[in-house]
Amino acid sequence: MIWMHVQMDSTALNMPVTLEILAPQPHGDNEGQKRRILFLLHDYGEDHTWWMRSSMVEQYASRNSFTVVLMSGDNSFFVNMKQGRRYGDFVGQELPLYCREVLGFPQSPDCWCIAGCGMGGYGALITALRHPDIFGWIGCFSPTDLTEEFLWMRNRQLELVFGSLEEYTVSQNSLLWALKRLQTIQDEAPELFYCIKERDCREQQRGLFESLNDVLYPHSVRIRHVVPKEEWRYPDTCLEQFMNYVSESSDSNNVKREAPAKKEV
Amino acid sequence: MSQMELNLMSRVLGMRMDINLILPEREKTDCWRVLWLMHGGHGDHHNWLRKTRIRQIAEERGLAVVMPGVHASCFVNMKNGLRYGDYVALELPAVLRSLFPKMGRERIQNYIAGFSNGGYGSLYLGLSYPQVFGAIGAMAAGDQADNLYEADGSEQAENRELMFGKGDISQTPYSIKYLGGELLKQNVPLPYIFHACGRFDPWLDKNLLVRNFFEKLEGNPYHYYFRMYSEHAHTASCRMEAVQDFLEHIGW
Repeated sequence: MIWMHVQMDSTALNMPVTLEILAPQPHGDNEGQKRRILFLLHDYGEDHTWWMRSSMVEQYASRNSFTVVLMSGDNSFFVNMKQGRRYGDFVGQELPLYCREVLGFPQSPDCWCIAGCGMGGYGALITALRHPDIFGWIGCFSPTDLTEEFLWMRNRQLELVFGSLEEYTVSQNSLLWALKRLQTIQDEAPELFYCIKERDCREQQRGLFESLNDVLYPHSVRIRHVVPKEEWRYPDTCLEQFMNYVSESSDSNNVKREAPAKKEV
Repeated sequence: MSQMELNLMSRVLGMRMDINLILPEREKTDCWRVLWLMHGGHGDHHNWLRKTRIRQIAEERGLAVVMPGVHASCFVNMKNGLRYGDYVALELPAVLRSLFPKMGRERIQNYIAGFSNGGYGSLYLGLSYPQVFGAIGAMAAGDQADNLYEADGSEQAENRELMFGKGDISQTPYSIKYLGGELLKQNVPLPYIFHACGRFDPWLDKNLLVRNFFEKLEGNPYHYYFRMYSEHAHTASCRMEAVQDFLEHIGW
């Protein structure tokens, strides 16, 4: 694999940004192989290095021939902040354009994946639901459920990102808004791979999943109960399963639209 | 512009290598012109970025710039070592063009330049792989065949032997004059050569030997052009002025 440490000037964020990109090394054996690109979003309090430190991302990317793009969201939940920078435009528009222009990725959503854990899981969901013409696959690993009031009491940063809880629920940054919008263009809905910890079966997580499933049906939605050997392996296990799932699904040319609504594994 | 540091596996060298790149991703073109910049004797893939304004120059002219690190190899296929020449001129273009489809593939879209040992390297690579590079910018560049050598067991002698072997190398592919003469016998497009040096460069004499060779060739088949900077020595300022003059000279 080739590791690229990239410094670029972001127009959306109005500042220079750093990316890490892992790409399959071109050689005779992989010529003609399907190219896939994955935007991998980090959890709250972390940065563009998190997935490289917390998982075997390079091994999974190499095995499945993914190009992986790691960027920092700076606690923004990867949305256009109410008081702050436009991370939603950066991840959902500027970065895909950069990858198409520089790395030559085609525009077909079947090649484009976005995934994340916690805050990154939320960011992956909201970005893909807002840009179903770009992302065909979502990997959502225990996404932060922002309808939980206690989160807002504990973390003032959320108000900088979303405004108040009341403002959030009616804003374009809310999952509810994104889901309602998606219902008007169902043919373009992305595939969703949703992971929750087996121990963490809070009603809210299941409630979030049910809402997503209701909107995205009859498109294939998979939920996985992930039981890692150690707690710290959770994001790594989710990532491995997601990348394997995308590879197997697209390589076998399954007709996504005819898959059952949900399967519990 | 975006700037990248790449770490990749070289099959030619059998190990991972580092490269710096500057990419003009906002240029409205389907094809980037590529400047391959070779570092000097004690440098690496950071050398041009740290010591010059190459990023600004690339941005003004809309160029992609590739800056490979080649350890202390002078960019050659070493006599007793690894094939750094094949790595830079054959493997890297193939890998980078596959990774970045907009990188130009024609020789007129790929020019090579370097300073000091990098200047020698740019001449060596440009003359050894004329199918890859359309022009050479050789700055403060002498011919390694003109360097004094004594097999005295010193560290300097050992390094020389690792790269070029023992004995006289004036009739081997490590000699710029030998390469320049041999290439004329082949029926291939010849690279343009821009050669520059500061008047106070300690190795001015070596540069003039190269100049004398190319200027004596009938019909100037390499479109050879030599420029002497009256105010410069073997310095970063000479390197900066020379690379800009090279780009102006070739119309980039």
